[in-house]
Amino acid sequence: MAYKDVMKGRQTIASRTWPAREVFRGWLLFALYTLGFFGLLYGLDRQVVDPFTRWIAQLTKLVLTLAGTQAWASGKVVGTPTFSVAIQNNCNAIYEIALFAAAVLAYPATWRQRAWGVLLGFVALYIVNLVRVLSLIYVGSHFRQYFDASHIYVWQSLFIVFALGLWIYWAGTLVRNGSR
Amino acid sequence: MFATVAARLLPFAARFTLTFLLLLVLWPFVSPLYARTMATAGGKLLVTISLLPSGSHLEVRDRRVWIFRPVTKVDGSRGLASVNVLDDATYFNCVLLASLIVATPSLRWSATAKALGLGLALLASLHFADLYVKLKWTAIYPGLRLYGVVPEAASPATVKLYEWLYAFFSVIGFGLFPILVWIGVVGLWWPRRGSNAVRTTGRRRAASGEQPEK
Repeated sequence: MAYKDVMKGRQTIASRTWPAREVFRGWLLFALYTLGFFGLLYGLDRQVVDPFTRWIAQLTKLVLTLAGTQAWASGKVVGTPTFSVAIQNNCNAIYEIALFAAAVLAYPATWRQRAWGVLLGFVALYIVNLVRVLSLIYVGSHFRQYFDASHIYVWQSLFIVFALGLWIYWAGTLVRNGSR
Repeated sequence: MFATVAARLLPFAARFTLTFLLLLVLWPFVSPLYARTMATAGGKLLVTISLLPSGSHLEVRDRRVWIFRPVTKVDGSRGLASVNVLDDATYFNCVLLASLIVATPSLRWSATAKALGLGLALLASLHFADLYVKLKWTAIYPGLRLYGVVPEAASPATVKLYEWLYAFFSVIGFGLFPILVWIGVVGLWWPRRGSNAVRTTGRRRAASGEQPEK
């Protein structure tokens, strides 16, 4: 066999090993699932998103009270005697959980693995979001001038990157297991 | 095995954090320039495609892009309204995208630079789309009457469409767009594992003086 033919054969294998089509398929599915989840959540704002947000406010108040801080919660607003925050759609994590779930569902895995992935993401992101709300109340109470920067710049980005890292971790574990 | 996956994520996380912190420090200097560029280029583009309402103009104030446009008040008189159509909390996600691209392992520097260029351009076009959606939604928003302003005429379907687009861009756009763009541009320049193997084999052969198979 000529050297050129061998190289040509290897190039064909090489182009097959580059998962461009799989990446594109996953990317498209992710976008579609995201749109679907967004539609569902936005459509069910009063029935699902509002109670979910109010529950976060109540849970934050509970944690603050258990930590010995005087705290109150009313609807989506939670606060201490010196500072209060209104938990909005960008801060309730529900849309980020939906993004994570969309990424998990778009990845080629068994439904059992996907279900575990979604559950893992839900629990982890919920806990991290609780930490975010608590830390923002702390920053707002003690370092008011840094509240906007922490809220808008740092936490929003970190939260998305945490979700991304969690997904890479989940997908990477699957790939290393070879259990697809 | 879990430790291995986490260990592989650590260099990425470290590079991401460093880049993010560096860009965060630079942000106060970069964001006014970005806002000005969006207002100038966006304004010209909107005029070119005839989407800027007549008598309106875009202006930058405090790192935010505002539209100043003529409105009709409920009492029939005319006035000028200013509405924020793009703020730095929205376009700060270019820092997120840039940090993700720079932190991505396995990319050559030239590929990183190309991915950064294309990625930021794509994200800027999404910011422009965001700006347009806000511009349109704040003109047709039915609740404007509560503020004494008559909303622009629009069909119920158009109102619903822009309401959903506005919510989509505001609620989910910040995180979704950089990730979509990141996956897209990194996928374009991701090294082809197989072709690298071929190159390595070829180089090894050349180094050892081995002849290719015949």
